[in-house]
Amino acid sequence: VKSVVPILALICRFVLGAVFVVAGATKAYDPAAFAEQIGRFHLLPWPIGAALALWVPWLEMFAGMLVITQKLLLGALLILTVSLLIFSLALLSAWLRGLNIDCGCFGHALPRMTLGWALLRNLLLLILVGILWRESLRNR
Amino acid sequence: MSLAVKGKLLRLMTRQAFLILAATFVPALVSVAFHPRKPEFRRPELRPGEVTLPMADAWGKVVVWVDARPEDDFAHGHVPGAVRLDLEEWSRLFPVFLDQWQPTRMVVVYCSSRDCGLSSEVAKRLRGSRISPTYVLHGGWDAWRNRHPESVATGE
Repeated sequence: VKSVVPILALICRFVLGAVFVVAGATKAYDPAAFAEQIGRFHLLPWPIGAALALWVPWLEMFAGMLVITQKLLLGALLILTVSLLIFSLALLSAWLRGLNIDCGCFGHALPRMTLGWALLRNLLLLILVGILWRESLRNR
Repeated sequence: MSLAVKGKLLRLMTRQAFLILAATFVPALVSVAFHPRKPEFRRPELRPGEVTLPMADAWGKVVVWVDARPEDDFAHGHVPGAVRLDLEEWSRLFPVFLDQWQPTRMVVVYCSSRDCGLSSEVAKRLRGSRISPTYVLHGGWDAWRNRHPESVATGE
């Protein structure tokens, strides 16, 4: 069992990192579209959403890359954890308000994903993050 | 894990997170200055029935693009796949449009710029013919050319 754990952690790192790099890249390609998608959540004033649309994709790409390469791992994990929690809260609030919108998580590179599915996917990603937290703290 | 070690880890983690946050500001600021698809910081005021180009882009291939400008302008450059429609030649052009359209598709009409007006007239006529949903592109052809300079079709 002991030899399986590091391999599992390795897979978690690559999956989590890749998801964030891809999600960031598709949105960094078209921040104007991402700003529209943020706007449709009706949670933030437009200029703040526009600023986030220009910044958050880079944060996702950097953090994803750092998780894969294991550089600044704790900081990257902290950022991914907080981001996933914030995204999930936004999705949950949109879901509860009955908004018929796209998650916007991957720009429009992927087909539309309903809010419920997006929430479920975020939960799975949070489990991966949890496994990585456990692994990286245990090794210290 | 002792309390001292926990404190040390927490400080390390926070320091690393701030370092990453600070590093990402660099490409973000470059995007603010140079990104060809950067968002406007002032939300464009949409009139009823108008749609912004990023929004229409997000709809993707469901959109039927309708060009409401004169024939010369159309020949000079238009949205790839767009169908031309104007009120004067309606009986000739409308059947051509109907070939492209299906009830599951969304129509976006544009004319030359933000205040050109032709697109709203064509959109009104389309809605009158029960072609719905039909939207007017905010910013018109100018908006398209700015956002997709590489994607311009010419000719008939």
